[in-house]
Amino acid sequence: MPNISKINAVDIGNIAKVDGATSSTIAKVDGLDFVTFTGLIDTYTGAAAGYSVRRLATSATVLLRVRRDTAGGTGDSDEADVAYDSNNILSLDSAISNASVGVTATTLGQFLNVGTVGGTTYTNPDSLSGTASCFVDEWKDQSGNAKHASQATFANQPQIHSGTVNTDLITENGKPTIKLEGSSTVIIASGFSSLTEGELYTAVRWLGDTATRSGWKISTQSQDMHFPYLGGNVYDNFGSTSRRNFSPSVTLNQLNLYNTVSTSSEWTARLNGNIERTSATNTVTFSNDLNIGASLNGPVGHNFSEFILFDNSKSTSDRSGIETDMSTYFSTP
Amino acid sequence: MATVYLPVEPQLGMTSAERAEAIDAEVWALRRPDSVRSPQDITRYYYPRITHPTTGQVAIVGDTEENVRIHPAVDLTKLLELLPEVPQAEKDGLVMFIDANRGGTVPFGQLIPSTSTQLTEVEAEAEGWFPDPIEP
Repeated sequence: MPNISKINAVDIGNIAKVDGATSSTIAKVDGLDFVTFTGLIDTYTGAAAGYSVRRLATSATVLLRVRRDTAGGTGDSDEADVAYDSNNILSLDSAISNASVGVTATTLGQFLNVGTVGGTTYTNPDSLSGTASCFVDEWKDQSGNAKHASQATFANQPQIHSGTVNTDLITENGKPTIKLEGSSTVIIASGFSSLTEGELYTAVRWLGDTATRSGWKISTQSQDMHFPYLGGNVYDNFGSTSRRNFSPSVTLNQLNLYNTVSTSSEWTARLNGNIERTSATNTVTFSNDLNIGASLNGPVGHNFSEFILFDNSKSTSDRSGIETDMSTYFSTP
Repeated sequence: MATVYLPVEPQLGMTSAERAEAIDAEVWALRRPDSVRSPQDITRYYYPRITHPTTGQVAIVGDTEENVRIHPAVDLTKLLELLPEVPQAEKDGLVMFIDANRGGTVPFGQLIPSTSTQLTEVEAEAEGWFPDPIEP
């Protein structure tokens, strides 16, 4: 039996009362479950920033702002905000809004003129001459702190669709993902220098190019972060004056759940819950900028599906809960 | 792909960084002019820019072989104003070249003024544009 997630197209989570009864007290309507949405960062509080291809918070409305690329044809470089779909994830069915002048498409599939995907044929209301590839201008912060990760330079933007007709979004383990590849592809968010401790969770895959020498960085420590360095070790200075390295226990060329914590008494890195490197001695330092992607000294070659930075270190039980949620959702080992 | 580093001199009361940003924005406007852009558009620049670690000068990092789309409604006014050191005859030639390719493409290498310093990656490295790579 289906569940009820919307009434008159309004998400249940946005409805306070029905006929005077608080929505959270309503279990069923006419025998159907009354489903309210609770996101990962609703359950586990203290997110300084949260970026994902799925909805992370009840308050979130938009996942991305994107630019379609028609190589100079009709509709070239028009932009639009992209929401999550009825399953709370980015898809070709996601509604678009706040689009450039002249755009009449209402879904991402129409905006890109993707053709037929998964049995659904998307119309071409903007009369594009072909299927557009799709790049990310801004990965929206769902924490409510408005620390959106942006890229205003055309040549540096991550990609979510290849531009091939009848083709779905770029995916990892069947879920959409954000592809960052090249010597200058990077997205940047700002406003993190006041953090006194932090914990990061990301679902990320290194694409296997051994020239790759970057990943992301949020530290005033001078050296680059490498995930990995030339196909070998990981070097990570997450929120720390020290950069630590380890030989990863699993291949990075698969979607993994990577977690790091930096406090005044601990620095630890985990891959899929396994401790890779830990130290009880640490000095915390967070840079103002969070860079996800290439550094000046190293190209990027990664797919990122989720990237959540907390302003606190998590308890063992909370960490377990977050790991279970992310690994289940993204099918990481 | 042929990467070229184009150090930008301070001019017109602008710092190197300000002028490089303004020129980069006008390169993007070749493909998406102000007349078709929306206020909420985020994309504003075409190429990456790097800052010299000691002098603070900024260079545009272009690709001489990249075919840059020229929008039919392109307007070169602002770009030409940003290039006061370029001889008028060369500016006139650029206008004719762009006009002839509205709706088409032109290699970025053919848009670089003769007055601009052009560095290869090796030359840029020799001139200290990259910080010493601090690698493992």
